Amino acid sequence: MHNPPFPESAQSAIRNPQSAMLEVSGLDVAYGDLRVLWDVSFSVGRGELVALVGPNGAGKSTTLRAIFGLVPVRAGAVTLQGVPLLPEPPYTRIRHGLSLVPEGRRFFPQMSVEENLELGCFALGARDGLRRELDRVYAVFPPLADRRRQAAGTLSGGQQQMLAIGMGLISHPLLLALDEPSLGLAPMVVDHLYEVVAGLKREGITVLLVEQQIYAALDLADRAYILETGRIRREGPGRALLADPYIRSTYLGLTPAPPPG
Amino acid sequence: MQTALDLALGGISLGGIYALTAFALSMALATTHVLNVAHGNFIVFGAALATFLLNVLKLGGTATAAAVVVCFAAAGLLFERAFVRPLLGKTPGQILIGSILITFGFAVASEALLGYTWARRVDPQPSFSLTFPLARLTVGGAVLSGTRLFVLLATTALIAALHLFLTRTALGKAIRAMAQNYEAAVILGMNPRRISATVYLIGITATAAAGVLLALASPLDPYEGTRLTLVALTVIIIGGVGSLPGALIGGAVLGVAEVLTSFYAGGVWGPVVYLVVFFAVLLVRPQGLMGGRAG
Repeated sequence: MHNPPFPESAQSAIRNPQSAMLEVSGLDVAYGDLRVLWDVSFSVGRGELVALVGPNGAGKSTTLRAIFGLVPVRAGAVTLQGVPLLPEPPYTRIRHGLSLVPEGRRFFPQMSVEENLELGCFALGARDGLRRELDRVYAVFPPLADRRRQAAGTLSGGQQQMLAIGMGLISHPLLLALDEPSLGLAPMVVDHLYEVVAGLKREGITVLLVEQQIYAALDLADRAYILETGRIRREGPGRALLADPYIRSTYLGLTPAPPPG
Repeated sequence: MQTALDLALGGISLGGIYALTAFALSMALATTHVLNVAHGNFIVFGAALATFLLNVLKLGGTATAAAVVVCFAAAGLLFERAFVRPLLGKTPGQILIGSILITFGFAVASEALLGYTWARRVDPQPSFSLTFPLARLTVGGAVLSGTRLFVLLATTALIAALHLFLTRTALGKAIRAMAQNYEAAVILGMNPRRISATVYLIGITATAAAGVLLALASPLDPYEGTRLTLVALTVIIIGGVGSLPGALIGGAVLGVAEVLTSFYAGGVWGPVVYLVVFFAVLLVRPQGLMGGRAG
């Protein structure tokens, strides 16, 4: 398990060793008169991979953005290891150990791959181990090492996603949130992406995965929540939800699973 | 041959000044989405303060330079606090319109205040002009303008310093990052208020310094702010928002064009150049000659 490098996150770990890593309760979000999320509640435990899945427009990305303070929240609470996050400005999330890989592969297109990764460490301040951290990321994503001086905007879609994930990981976050990482990527690239995510899980990194590709996400997740039109409709272990008849017919276009044995 | 050398030096040194102020405006626009219509006014204010300290109070060159830096660093912070900070959090479109309105009001009010106060207290015909001690140099048989050479060296040094700050320091990289992707920068822990304050502290100081250098080359009056903002905007249109190479190229093109036009058609026609370029570029390639990258 990686050691969180920020004083804030380390202190809260000592204070609340048993609490879930991330607790979201009663989240209500609206854009003006348009209500988008209704009483959304879920949790992510230490070392878990939790998936938040649902159809297009369900409010999955909005949920992540609300956690990060990027959209205004009408009601609700978000705590990371017991520390309330919502009163704080968005740029402090990373100091608490919360890292987001946003939708659409957000990075800095005119800067080089290496500069982008360095900026992933920005919140850590000047540190001696930067070279080591960069090499760690390059070991996980060899194509980035080959292109380290290249402008990030010139990478392929899959490489950009690797870069975005690398930028999210390099600060050793307590929890890594991924917002639709498979969006716009070719199927073969998505397979590789999910191998990488599975690898993160094996390393014990806590992950909150928001996805539209429901089968892959449920297959990988320890637990999952189904979000439909702004409300949590179902929750449970990933594999159990895969066998759920409603989910199989609505989202996977499959007949009910055969009984075991 | 002599004249060609003079014109080249004049054009490049003027271009350097234009590039410096244009880049300051462009960086602020790229990071905060604020279009500061009063930008040119700070060029004039820099010239005014330097003229006052050097010619009226008779302070030395070093003291004047230090005073200009301190004053305008503070002015930059105050300006950001008063006019930019309230707009933080609005959509880029709202920020753009709002900033144009606010800063336009500031521009009109401040230049009127300067003109009035100067006319009453200092000189009924306000004019800001500085003279450089080594105005004429003889280098290898050719007579060069020491003033223009100094201006060229000074702007080169300032632009180089700016470039090093933006590429070698953490804060500089954060400024560039925020200009390229605001949200990704915030997610990675960059504080938008701190970056905004830094951009204006450096930008306004650099702009005032450019004004001091411009006053060495030709006299300025209190009401030239709008013209100079237009020059900066034209350079940005040519070179693209947030691009330093673009600002250098745009500045060089406009500086040389203005000097040549003044020489062949008379001084009055110089400013016409950038009006023509401004509208020509907008008509032909609205996204800018460099293709609307950056920002």
